[in-house]
Amino acid sequence: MRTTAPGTNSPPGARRTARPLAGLLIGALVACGGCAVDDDPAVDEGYGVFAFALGSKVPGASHMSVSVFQGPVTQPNQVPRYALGCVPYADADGSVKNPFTLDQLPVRSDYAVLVELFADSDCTDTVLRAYRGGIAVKAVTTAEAAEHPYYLQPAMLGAFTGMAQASAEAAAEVAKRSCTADAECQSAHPAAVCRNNKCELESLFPLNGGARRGLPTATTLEDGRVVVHGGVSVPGDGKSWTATSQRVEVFDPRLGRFESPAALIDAFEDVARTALGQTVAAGSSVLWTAAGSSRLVIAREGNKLRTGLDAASCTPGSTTCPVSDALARADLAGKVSVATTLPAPRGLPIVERMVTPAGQRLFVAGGAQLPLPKSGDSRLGDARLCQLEASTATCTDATGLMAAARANAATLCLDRTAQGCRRLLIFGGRASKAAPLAEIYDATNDVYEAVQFAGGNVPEQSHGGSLIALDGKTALLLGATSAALFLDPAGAVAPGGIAPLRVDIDESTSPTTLTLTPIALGAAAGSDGGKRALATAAAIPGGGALLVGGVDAAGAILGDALQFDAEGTIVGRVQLERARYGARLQPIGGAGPFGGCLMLVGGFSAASGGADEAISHIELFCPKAP
Amino acid sequence: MHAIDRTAWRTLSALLALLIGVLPTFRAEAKSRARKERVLILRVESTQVPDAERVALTNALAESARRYKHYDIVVSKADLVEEMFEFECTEAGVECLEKIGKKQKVDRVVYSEVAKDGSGKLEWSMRVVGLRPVARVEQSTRQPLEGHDIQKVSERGLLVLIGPVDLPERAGTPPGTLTVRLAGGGVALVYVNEKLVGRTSVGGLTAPLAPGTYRLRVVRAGYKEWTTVVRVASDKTTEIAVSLELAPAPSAPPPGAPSPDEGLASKWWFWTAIGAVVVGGGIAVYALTRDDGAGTVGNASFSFDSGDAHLDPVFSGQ
Repeated sequence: MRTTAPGTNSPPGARRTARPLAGLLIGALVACGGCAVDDDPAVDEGYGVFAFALGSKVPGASHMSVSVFQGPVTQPNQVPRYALGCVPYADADGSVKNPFTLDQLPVRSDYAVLVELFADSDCTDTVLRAYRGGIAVKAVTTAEAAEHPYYLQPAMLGAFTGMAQASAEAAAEVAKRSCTADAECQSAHPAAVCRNNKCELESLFPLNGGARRGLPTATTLEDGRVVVHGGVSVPGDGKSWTATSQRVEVFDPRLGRFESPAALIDAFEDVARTALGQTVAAGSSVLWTAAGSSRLVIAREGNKLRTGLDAASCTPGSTTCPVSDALARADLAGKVSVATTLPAPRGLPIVERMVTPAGQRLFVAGGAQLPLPKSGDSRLGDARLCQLEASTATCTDATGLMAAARANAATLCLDRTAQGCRRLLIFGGRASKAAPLAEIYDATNDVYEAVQFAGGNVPEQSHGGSLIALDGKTALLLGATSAALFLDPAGAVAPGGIAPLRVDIDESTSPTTLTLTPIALGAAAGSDGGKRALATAAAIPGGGALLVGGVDAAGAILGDALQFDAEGTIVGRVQLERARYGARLQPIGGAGPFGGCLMLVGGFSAASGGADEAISHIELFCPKAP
Repeated sequence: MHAIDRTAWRTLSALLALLIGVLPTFRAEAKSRARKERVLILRVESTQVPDAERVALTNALAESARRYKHYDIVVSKADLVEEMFEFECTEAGVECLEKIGKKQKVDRVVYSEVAKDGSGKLEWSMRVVGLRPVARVEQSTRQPLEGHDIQKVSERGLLVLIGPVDLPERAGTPPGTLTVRLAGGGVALVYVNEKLVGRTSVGGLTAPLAPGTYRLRVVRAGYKEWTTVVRVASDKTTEIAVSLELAPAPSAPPPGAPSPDEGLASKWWFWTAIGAVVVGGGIAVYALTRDDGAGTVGNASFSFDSGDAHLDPVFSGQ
């Protein structure tokens, strides 16, 4: 049942079902002193009534509020134009679902609606938040409006909530059709696509991710939007994958849905069509991007992972090398330029926006020379500092070399300003165990500093992973592996996940001292013990961190996340809607209803046929208020 | 907060307030400068009281209405049934009142009737129908009548229906600021002249208001409603600290009372009563039917059930 509101032209059955809740509101209006709406039975005829039918029980919710805003919600305490106070979230008879209707609103196209469910009668303990902006109220009847209800993206706080997916009925209806092109499916539903000559309603873009993306790139812009691009989607011989043909999707938290800026898609060229790419925000609508590969090898083989950059063709002068040598500056306003190129493609370099005495620069360091040798080390130790402006693009060599040649290292900015990073901790990614495990790049003086380790617990090797700052002196190393994934000439290797480590950083010593401590996971250790390869991790805005998905030592895909608090202590496990590895966890910016939430984008998941598939499904994690 | 931030905040708040109609009086005054709105007061209807009493009620209502200097008050010279007869109306619904109002060239029509409530006591039900942009009930109220001064009852009714008598005199002067803080935690709704202006907590709610006197009401579920009258001066901040008292718990229904599934449950007013008991004081939907200057009204429907998502207007080019 989609529409149960007792407004104009509501079906009789629906009116009967919804009457208790609708009546509850009507009564409440009288109780508030006649502040709105008629107290006449004729309200059921449909003038000026806030019709309402919300009976599907959300766990833990007892009360709710509904607020209607003119324009998007961009602040935590923004005053709504229309507001329902704090009311009991009653469960009717179980047959009523979630649609509800607002009648008699002035016709406009810029409303935003925020529904919040609470665990307490004061409406302070939020359980669920659902939001949508850009809503148009049209001069149509209630019944006509109910034919196309706006989807308010919900987010259970402290849990993962999937973005919109097609109902089984809608998907089944589309699947009845055969096809040779997407257009033949779109008469059944505009979001349907043609896959293997059958129509599928696979993604509800723009209410969910629109493209399958394994190892995608995501960037949070200063205005809060999240730019998603790249990733591989097309399986080849069961091991190799090719980049998605879709380029850019932008999640706008002010709207609560994605947008697909045509200008950017047209102009971003193939720079955006790579997996393992690295991008940094350089303004409210500008991002810098580097590296990435348009072809990858990735497959689970029993308890091993076979990974590679598929870069055999990357000989000097090659035009078919899948690894990008481009550095690009992209402006979401539409101006995109492939600014410059590196002397040669580099696999998995270190990329960061740094502040040098000469201004902001894109720091591109290390990486692997291609093609990868059958044996030995192809990693590089040099770095380039590139200026990427709208009209100029130049790179200069940084002075000196890193103490260790590195690729696929974890990084942590130790001194961040609004313009970028001044001091960058570079951790792991070395091939030689004799070389230093970590070092610091000081952009102010353009020098590398040594790092010393105190205590034990220093991993023999560490590749990839995320260093997540808890405060200025402590970080977590999450998702790193002892295996040099994508760079190991052996191909299939044990995943080699490294259990989460707490990293205490003491910059008062010379050199800087790092102390590593394993984090006690207790009951949350599970079967994987936190040792996850191809997982993704990010800081939770407001405190803490999440380590999500990945592959365990047995080669199994993990369907949960480890949550850590602001002190780095394990909080527990959080279930995903879909188990995955090779995904990307990215914070959503802004101060609206989704500001401070995290977006889990793409990745690989087990398909029904036994092989893995890249997925488009996106999940949101919104933290509970501390 | 730096001075420049405060200035920017005030400017933004003032703009927002104007946008959302926090200052209904501004709007009314702006209209009055162009043309006073005309309000038709219909004669009181009742089969429960003698004609003489009905006339007295009508006179009291008319006298109360004439206190509104920013409206042109028109008092009907004929009984409603005669007017209804002219337009062949069978009931005093919105359509009929619209016809009567258009004949008199008014902007609003005030209809009222006296009847007995569920306990057999007389109450005065009032309703104002606005004719623009489309005819619709704008506000309504029920006022207990027995044992009350009919003049005061009519004044209270009109306050709900068409707002306060007095308007701020200096609309061109800078607004003042009202800050309402809630002691003891929790969240409460704040109404100024029956308009919801937002939620307050210990952190307080700040609202820009035109200089003048306002009725302030703070409500929170489970607590006694709190009201006062505040005066807001131009370019000054009036701070109000509110401490709410717990309301007594609602009593259980007497043995033998009908269950919600039988008898009374089919009557709309049963749910009215339940609503008032369960959520009274903690709930408000406001402005949904008020004339806020929009030319047209319309509908929208929402869902946060993923099973409905494929029906979203983004997929139909809407």
